[in-house]
Amino acid sequence: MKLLNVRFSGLLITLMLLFVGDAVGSVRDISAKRECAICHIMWLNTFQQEDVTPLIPYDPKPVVDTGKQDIVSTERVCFSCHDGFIMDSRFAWVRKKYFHPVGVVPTEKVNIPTREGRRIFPLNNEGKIYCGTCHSAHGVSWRQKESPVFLRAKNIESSLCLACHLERSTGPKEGNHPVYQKIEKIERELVDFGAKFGVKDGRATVICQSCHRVHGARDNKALVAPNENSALCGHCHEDRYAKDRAEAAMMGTHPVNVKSDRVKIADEIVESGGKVGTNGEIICQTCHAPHYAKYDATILVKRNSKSSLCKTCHSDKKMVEDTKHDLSLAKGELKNIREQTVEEGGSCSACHVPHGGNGLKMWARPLKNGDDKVAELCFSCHSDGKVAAKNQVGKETHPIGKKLSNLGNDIELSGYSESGEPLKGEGRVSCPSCHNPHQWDPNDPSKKSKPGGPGDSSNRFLRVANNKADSPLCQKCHADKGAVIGTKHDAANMEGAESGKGICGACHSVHKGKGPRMWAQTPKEGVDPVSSLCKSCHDKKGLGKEKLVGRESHPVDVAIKKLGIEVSSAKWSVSADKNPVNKVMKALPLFDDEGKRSTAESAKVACATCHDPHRWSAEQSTEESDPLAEGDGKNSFLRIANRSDGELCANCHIDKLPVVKSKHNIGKFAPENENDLGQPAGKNYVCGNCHVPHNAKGKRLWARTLDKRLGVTEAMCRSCHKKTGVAKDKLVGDHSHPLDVDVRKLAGKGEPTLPLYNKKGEQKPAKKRGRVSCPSCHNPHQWDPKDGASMAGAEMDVEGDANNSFLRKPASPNGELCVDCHKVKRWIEGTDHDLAVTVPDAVDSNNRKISSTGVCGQCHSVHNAKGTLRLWARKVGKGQDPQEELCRSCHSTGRIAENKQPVKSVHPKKVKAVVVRRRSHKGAYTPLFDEKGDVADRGVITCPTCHNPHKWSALREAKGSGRNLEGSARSSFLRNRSEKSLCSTCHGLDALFRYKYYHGKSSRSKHDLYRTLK
Amino acid sequence: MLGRLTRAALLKWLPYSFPLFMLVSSLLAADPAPIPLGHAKHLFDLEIADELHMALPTDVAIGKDGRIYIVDGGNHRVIAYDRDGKHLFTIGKRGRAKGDFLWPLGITTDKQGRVYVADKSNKRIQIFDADGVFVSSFIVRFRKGGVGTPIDVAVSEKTGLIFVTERERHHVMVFDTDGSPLGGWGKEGVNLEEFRYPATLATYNGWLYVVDSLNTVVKIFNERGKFEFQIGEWGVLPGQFYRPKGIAVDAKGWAYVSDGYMDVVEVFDDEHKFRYVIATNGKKHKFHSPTGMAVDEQNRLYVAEQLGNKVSVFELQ
Repeated sequence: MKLLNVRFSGLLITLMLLFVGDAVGSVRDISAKRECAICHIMWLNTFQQEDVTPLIPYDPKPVVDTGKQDIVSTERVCFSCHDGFIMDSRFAWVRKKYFHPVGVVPTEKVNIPTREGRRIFPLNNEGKIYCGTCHSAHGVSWRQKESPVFLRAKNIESSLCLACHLERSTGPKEGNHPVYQKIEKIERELVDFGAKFGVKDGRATVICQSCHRVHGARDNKALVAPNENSALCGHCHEDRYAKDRAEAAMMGTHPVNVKSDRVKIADEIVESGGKVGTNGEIICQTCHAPHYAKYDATILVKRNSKSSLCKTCHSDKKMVEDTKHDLSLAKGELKNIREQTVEEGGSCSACHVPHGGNGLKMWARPLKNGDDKVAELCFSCHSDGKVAAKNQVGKETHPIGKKLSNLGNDIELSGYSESGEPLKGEGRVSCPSCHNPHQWDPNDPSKKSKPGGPGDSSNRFLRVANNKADSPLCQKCHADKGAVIGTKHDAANMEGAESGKGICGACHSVHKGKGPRMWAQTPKEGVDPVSSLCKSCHDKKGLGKEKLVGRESHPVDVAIKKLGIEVSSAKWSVSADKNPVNKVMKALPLFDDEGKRSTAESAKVACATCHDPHRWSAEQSTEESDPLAEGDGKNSFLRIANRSDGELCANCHIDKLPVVKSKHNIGKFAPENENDLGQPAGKNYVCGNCHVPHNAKGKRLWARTLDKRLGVTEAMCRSCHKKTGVAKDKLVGDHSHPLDVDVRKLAGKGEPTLPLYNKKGEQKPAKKRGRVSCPSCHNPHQWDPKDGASMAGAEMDVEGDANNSFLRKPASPNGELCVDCHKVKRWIEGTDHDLAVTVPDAVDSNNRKISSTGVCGQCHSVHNAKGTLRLWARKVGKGQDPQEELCRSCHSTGRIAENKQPVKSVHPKKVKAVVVRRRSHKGAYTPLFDEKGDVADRGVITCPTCHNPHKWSALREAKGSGRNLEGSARSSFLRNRSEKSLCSTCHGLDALFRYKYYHGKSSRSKHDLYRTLK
Repeated sequence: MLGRLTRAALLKWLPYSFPLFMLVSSLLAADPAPIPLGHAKHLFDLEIADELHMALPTDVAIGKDGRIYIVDGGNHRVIAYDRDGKHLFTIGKRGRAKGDFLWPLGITTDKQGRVYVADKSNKRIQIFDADGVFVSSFIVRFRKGGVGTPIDVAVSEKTGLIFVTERERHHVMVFDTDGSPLGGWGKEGVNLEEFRYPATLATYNGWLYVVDSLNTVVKIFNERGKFEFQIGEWGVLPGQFYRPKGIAVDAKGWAYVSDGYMDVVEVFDDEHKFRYVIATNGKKHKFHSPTGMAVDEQNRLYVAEQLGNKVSVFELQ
C-alpha cells in the first residue's frame, strides 16, 4: 500500500512536470528554481521520479524546528562550494575539530534570542546546533562588507556571537573577560591567526573574535590561536606573560610558564577550575577564568579577598599576618601602588601585586633604583622617611651583592639572581639570604610580633635562630669561621669580654658595626682600617693587651707591589729573577685604603694578610695544637704555617727563599743557637732565627741584639759574625774592604747597581747618604748569585770563593761585583795584568788561583788582606816605596813577571815633584805617593805615577786583547802617551828632547844616568 | 463523420481520461532504471608522507616513470610517490618563498615530466622538475592587467602552452611556455563560452576539458578557445552533475568526472556519452568528496578525496 502511494505520488508529480516543464535541463536552461537547488539539492524533482535512480538518495534531513528541511545547512553542502574550487574555506576544515560546536544541544549557558516566540537562530529538529543555526543565504544582504554573508544576522564587532552568549560579555565584575575595552596595540601575529578587533574612538577594542574564531580556530574553545600554556592570553597581555621567572621578575608580574616546583599548586585551585600547563606549569588560567568566574572573583578562579587566593598556593607566606611585616598593624592607612590599603587588598597586597608591580617580586611599593634589586625591596620600608625608618641598617652592615659562591661550597643559605630568584649556595647575598620576611620566628611560624615590639637574634625574621653560642645562622655561610671557637679569639676565653652575643657577635655587629667588617668594638684610630680592628683589642688598654706587636713590627699598610709582586684577579706572580726557586705563590688577602679586600695593583698588606683571626692553626686542628697555649710560627692564627722553610714569610719574600739552602740556615747547622727571643734555631723556622715579625730587637725585624755602635746593616751581620757569635769562624780580618764609604769618591761615572745603606739600615742611594755596607756586596739569603736553587752553600765545610759566598754578583772571573763600584778598573780584563791571560796557574798569598779569586782577587783580598795598602793579596816584593813593593810582588826576580822589570824603576829621588792637577783634565794624571803608599799631593814619583795597572793603553777605553803583548810607549799600562803628554807633564817642551835622548839607543848608552843604572 | 465521432468520443471519454491515464500509468510503471556501473579494482590509498597525514588533498598528476604528484593543500605542500605508492619526496611548506605554497589547488605534468602547481593564494604557477627541484614560477597576470586566482593548470602536449582556470574572472587563461600571458576566454555566465567557477581542467589530444562547476558541465574547447562540445548536465541522475570538480581523460579518450557532493566518479566515452559510474565490489563506489583525478598509462585511476584526506588508486577494467 505504501508502495502504491509512493508510486501514485510519483505519477502525480510526473504529470505536474508535464505541465510545468522539466526542471532538469542543460546549462542554458538556467532557472530560478535551479538556482535554489544549487544549495537546496533535495528540492530537485528528480528525487520524486520513480523511474530513475539518482546517484544519491533522497534525504532531506535535517529538518529544522520550523518543519522545513534544511540539508542545505549541512557541512557537506557548505564544503561543496567552500572547498577551494569555488570559495576557499579550507583553513576552517583543516582545523575542523576546533569549529564552533555543531550537532550538539546548546547548554543552559546559551540563550538563543527569540522573536515572536521563535528562535532567531534555529536549531534542527533534534534541538541541536547546525550550520543553519547561524547561517542563511536568505534575508541578508550579499553586498554588505561589514560582516560575512550568509549569516542570519550581521556579526559586527561580535554582535552575532553575543546574541546567544551575552552573559559572557558582562565584564570582570561578573566573572568575564572584558569586551569592548580599548587595548594599547594589536599584535600582528594574532591578526595573522585571524583575530579581529573592534574600534572605539579610533582605538582597537577587544571583541569575542579577538580570542575566538568560529571556523579556522587553532585550539579548543574555538580559540583563535594555540593556547598552550595560556599563550593566547600572552598575545595581548605581553606585559604579564613572561617566558620564565627571570623575565617575570623584571616585568613585575607573577611568573607563568614555570614549573610549580617551589610552590605547589593547591588542589583547591584545580578544583576551582584553575588549570596548569602542558607539563604542570603555572599559566594564566591557573588563577584566571576568562568566563564564568565566580561572582565577585573578577576573572579569578577563586575570590581573592584578604589575599585568600594568593595564600591558597603560597601557604608558607601567610604567617606574615600579625607580625611586624603586617602593614595593617604598622600603618593601616598605608597604600600600595594600586592605592589599596591592606584592608582593601589583603595582607599580601601591601608588598605584592600580581601584575604591574615595581620590579622584582611584583613589588607593590615605590622603589629606588639601587644596585641590589632585592635589597631595594626591603629598603622601600627600611629607609629614611619610610614606615620602618627606625629599623634601618647602619653604615657598617653585613655586605650585600657579593657572590655567595666566593664563600666556597656547601652554603646552605641562598643568594639571589639578578631577577631575585633564590639560588642555594649561589647568586648574590641579599637581605633575604638571612631573613625570611614572612616569618617572625624561624622556629615557630605561629609566633606573632608587633611593630615597635622587642626582637632578638632568635626571631627578627631570621631564617635560622642565631641566639646560640655558636652563632648558627652566621655559620650557615661562614662555616669556615667556626674554627674560631675555642681559640683565644673566642670571647668565651677572653677575660673581660662581653658574653651572650654568640661567638660571632662578640666582634661583629651585623647591621650596626662601629667600623669595617661590622666591627662591634671601637676601631683604633690612626692606623689602617684593618689594623684598626685588630688593635681595638691588641692595644695597651684592649682585651689583647698582652699580645702587642711592639715597636719593631712587620710593616702594614704597604703595597705588596713593593716586593715586585703583581696581583691580578687574586693571583700573585713575580718576575723570574725574583723567584730563584720557581715557587708558586699563594694569594693572601690584601686590602684597599678602606680595609676592603682588594686585588688591585695597589692592594696593601695588613694584619689579616698573614693572620686569619678565625683559625688558630692553618693546618692543625685545635685538638692537635692547644689554641690557648703560647703560639709559634706554625699556628698563632697564621694563614700559612711557618714550618722550617719559612713558608709564610717566603710566600711574599720569595726571593729570600734560597737562604734555606745556605749556611745562613742556622737551624740546620747550629740548632742550639737561640735568637735573642730565646727561640732555638733548631725548632724555629729559617726566617725566625734572624727576623721576628713582631717585637723585633731592631730594624729589619732583627731577632738579635744589634751593636749600636755600628750601622744597622753591619750590626746585623756582626750579630753572628763576631768572635762570640754563631759565625765566629767567618770573621773579616784586620785588613778588610772599607765600609761606610761614599762610592761617589771612586773614579768613574754613575751610581753602582749594588745597594747602599744608611746608618739606619735603610737602602738609599749615595746622594741620600747611602754608603757601602756588608749587604752592598752580600745577599745574605742566597749563596750562589747565579743559581738560587744551588745547594752548594748548604754545607758548613764548603769554603766559598769569588763565585758565591753570598755575593750579590760573582767576582770571578771578570770581577763583575768589584767593577760595579770600581768602574775604571774594569779595563784590566784581558790585559797582561789579568793573570788568566799571562799566568793562569799563579796563586795569591792565600794560595788561591785566579779561577776562585777572579781577576781582582789575585791582587786584592777583600776581607783578609795581608796589608791595608790596596788590600794586597800577594807577597810584596822589594822596592823603594810601598807602591813599588806592590808592583815588585810580580815584577821582580823569581816572581811571575820577572821578565818585565824596568832598568830603573824609580824616578830620581832628587826630583821634587808636585802634582799639577790643572793639567789632569788632559788625562795627564800622574799621582805621587807618600811614604805609606797613599796618593799624596807631594811625594815620590813611583811606578803608578806613570802606570795605571788596570788599563793597558791610555789611548783606548777597552779591555785587553786577551793575549800577552809587548807594549810600547803608547800602551804598557802608561797613563798617557809617553813622548808627548806623559813626560811633558813635568818636563814641558824639553820632554821630547829628553825622550829622544834617553830612548835613542846610541845616546842613551852614553849618558851617565844610563851608565849609572847599568 | 470521423471527425464528429472522434470529437464525440473524446468528449464522452474525456472525463474518464485522466483517471484512466493514471490507472494505465500505474499498471505500466516499471522498476526505476539502475545506475550503470563500471567496475574498478581498488588498489591502495595514499594518505601519509613524512609522518604527516594529508589534509584536504585536491589534485593528483602522473609524471615521469609513473610518479604520482599530489597537492596536499591543507599542509601547503606537494607529495611525490612512485607508482607503487612509496613516498619519494615532499615539495615545499607553507609560505611565500620560492618553492613554498599557500593553499595550492591544482597540479599537472608535461611530457618532459615537469610538475606544474597552481599555488592559489600565492597567485602563481610554480614549476618543478620531476625530482621536485624548483624550475620557475610565474604570477597569473591577465594580459590586460590584473592578477588572477589560479585554480588548476594544464599543459598542452602539442604546443606546451599552459592553461589555467581562474576564479575571479571565471576565465581560462593561456600562458606561453615562459609564463607570459597570451590571453584566454570566458566570463561569468551560463553560455557556452562562459563559466561559473571553472574548476579543474585537462588536455587531451589538442582538446581542453574544463569543469564548469556551478554550470555543472564539462566543456570541451580546442586550444584556441573555441567551444566544441560539452559533457554532462545539471542534475543528480547518472550522467548528470551536481558539483563536478575533477576531470581526467584516459588514453582512449574516455572522460572521468568526479562530483564533489554526490561522491561519485562518472565515466563518459570518447563520443561523450555517459557510460557508467565507477563501482567497486559490485556497488557504486562512494568517494569522500572527490576532486582532482588522473589516469595513467597502466589505466589506473587516481582520485583525490578531499574530505577523505587521501588519494585512492583504482585499476580500471
